[in-house]
Amino acid sequence: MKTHLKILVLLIFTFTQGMLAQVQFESSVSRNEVPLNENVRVDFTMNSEGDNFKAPTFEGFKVVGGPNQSVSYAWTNGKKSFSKTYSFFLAPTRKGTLTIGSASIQVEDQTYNTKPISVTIVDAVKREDPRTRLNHSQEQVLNGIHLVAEISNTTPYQNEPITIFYKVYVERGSNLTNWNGTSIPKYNKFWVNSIEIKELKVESGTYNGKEAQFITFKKDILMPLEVGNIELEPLVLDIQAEVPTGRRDFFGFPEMGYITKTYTTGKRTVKVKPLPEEGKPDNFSGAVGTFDFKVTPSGDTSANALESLNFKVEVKGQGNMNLFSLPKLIASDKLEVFDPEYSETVKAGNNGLQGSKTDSYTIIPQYKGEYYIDPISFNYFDIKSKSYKTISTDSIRINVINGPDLPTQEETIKESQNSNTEVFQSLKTNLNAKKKDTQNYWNSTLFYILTSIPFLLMPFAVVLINSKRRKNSDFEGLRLKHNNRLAKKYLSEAKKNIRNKELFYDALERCLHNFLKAKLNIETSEMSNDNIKELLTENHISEDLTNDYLQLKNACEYARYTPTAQANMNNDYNNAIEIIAQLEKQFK
Amino acid sequence: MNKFIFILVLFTSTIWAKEVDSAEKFKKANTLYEQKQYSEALKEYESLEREGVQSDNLYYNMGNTYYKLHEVGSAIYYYEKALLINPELKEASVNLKFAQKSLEGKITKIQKLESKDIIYQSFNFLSFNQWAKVATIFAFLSLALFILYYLSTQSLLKRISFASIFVCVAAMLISSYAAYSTKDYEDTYNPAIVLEDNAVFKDEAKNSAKTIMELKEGTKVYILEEKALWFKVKLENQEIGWLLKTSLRPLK
Repeated sequence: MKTHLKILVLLIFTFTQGMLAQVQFESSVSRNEVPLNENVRVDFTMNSEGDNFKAPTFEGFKVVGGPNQSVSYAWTNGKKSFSKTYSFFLAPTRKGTLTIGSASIQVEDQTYNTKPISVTIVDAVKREDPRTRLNHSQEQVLNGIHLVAEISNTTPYQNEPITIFYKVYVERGSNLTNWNGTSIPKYNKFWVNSIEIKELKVESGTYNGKEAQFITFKKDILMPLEVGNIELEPLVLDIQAEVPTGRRDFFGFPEMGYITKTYTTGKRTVKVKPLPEEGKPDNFSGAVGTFDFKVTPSGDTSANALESLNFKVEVKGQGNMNLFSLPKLIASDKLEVFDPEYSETVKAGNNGLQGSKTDSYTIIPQYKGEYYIDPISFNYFDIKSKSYKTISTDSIRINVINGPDLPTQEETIKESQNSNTEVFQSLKTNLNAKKKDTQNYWNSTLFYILTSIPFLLMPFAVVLINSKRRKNSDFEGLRLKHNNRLAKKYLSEAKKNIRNKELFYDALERCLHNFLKAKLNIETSEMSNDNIKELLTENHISEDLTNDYLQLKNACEYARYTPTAQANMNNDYNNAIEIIAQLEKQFK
Repeated sequence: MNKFIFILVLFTSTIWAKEVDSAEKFKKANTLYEQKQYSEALKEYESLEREGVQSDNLYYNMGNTYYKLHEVGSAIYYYEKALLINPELKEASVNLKFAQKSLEGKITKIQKLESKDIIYQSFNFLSFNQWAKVATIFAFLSLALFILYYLSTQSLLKRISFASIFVCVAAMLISSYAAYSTKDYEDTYNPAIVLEDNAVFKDEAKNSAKTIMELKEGTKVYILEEKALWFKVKLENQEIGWLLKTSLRPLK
């Protein structure tokens, strides 16, 4: 058992040794200490053909050459040896100990890595390479090229747009052929709007009093967002210039060569001033520049209800156009105001952004009447006069001609303001203290009693009046009343027929008869005028009344057979009542 | 017995003395005011107020004193209080406008007349007690007309008096209703003044509720109901919300 294990360990050992011996992948550097301005070569060597070579990222270095491949085969004593090398030339970018990471390669599905190598970068050494040393005329050429950042205003207000131009000045006698940006500034504390330069133009101007040609190759509009001294990063360019080599060609003309030199604009500082506090409006919009503000109706300001009206709120001018918002349009709440449609035409120009911003509002009135759009004001900081300015519009009247009336009685009350003649009133001198009136008559018991008493008294009043009447009685009156009622009862039939003459008189006569029959207990057959007269006299009826009775009775008979006027019928009826009542009275 | 009379005399004299005392105090406070010793004047006025003196002129003078002390909220409170007792006090309304002018963020007044407001305005020419008295008078008048109706024998007179009874009864009912509605309206009319600057006007009666807006000192509100630490109030622009009780002071 033990021996088996030993053999196994040995086997594994020899195999792995063999595999390790098979593939070697190593890295090496030409030197471990490198001055900053010199290059270092790094080699990645392998002894077997591999795929997927991956170079490290070379942090802290700039690859100036490579990768170069070299392959060598050698047969020595019948033994093949192979080696393949990838080489890179690196220029360090900073001082200190830099590490070259590991490269990787794949050989037969196995990945091999190199070990990282440390390289110490030391200070640049001054080096006079006779080949690269510039002669006087070459230096002159290079000194005639200037890279400049021109800032339109180095002391702007916060939010005030400034323009930065990057220009290359080329003095006479110098020529440049190409450039390559190595460091392009980012503006951290600015709102940036880059202006695209479509075509590079060569313009002439002066640089430090010398005549020069220049090219503007970058233009940015900056709006400082913070207050204080803000440093702008430099722009660094590698510029290739055409310089004389000092040699002459076959024809005797000076031969020209190219040389690349790094130029920088240097750091620039912008001193940003805060906007003055003095006169700053409470609702300052943040706009800085010169602007014009307008609210215009597009079309008519009168319409029918449910028809749309359009209004434009527009700011035009130049300044930080994109850094403020338009004031809102506020109209009477009886009008339906829809969210505005925003549009802008803003272009970057030499003085910042210019153009216009527009909010288009659609208003649909609901009810008939006159409404107003509140005055709108827009404020901005005017760069020219260095002061705040406010543009206010007038209120706009909207006339809704036709439509339903407002349904509520809600109304806004205009606060009355003190007129100029009114002054603060002085003290009052007399203390006219008022007693608290705690005693309420309303809802008190007294109120309920006093108010209900008259109604409770009404039945008592009725009872009282009646009993009093009975007591003092004009008895006569009562009797008369009674008799009248009796007569009326008898005459009810006659009354029914008051429209028909014959029937009326027939009924009336029968009534007179019936009355007497009831009173005197006689039969109709005994009803002769003489007989009646005799009986009435017997009953102590006055002679006048007897005559009246008989006269009426005769009149009835007479009327039944002859035409008489209608008026007599009412007359006779009333007469009959009177007579019966009188008779009744005298019978008792 | 002697003792009793003595006590009685003492009692009445204190009542009488109290009135004189109040007038004296008022005069003293006014002099302090004229001498521009506003905080001393205010102390005197306040002691008068504590004694329960109810006077439009006292409140008006207190308003002036607060105004001079630059306490605009309290000034508005006392002007409004003076106007509540005596709406015809012109000086108070003039000075109130002065006080309100220095107030920021004023709320636009929106008047919304509900039916009860209209009823109140049409009945307001008499107080509810006067209306109650009118109702009683009409009750007696209807009794008199009833007797007249019963006694009269002339049919025209009878007819007129009979109709008049109904008119009187109707008038009595109407004036009772007027008394009722006027009283009811006055009971529910409960204005108050915000005396805390930036008082939070909440959506609900909770501290965590959404703040609708912040009310400036001196804003007039109308109390609708009460709930624990909160008042439900209506602003002059008809907005309704809740305010902490501590941030306002009712005028009544």
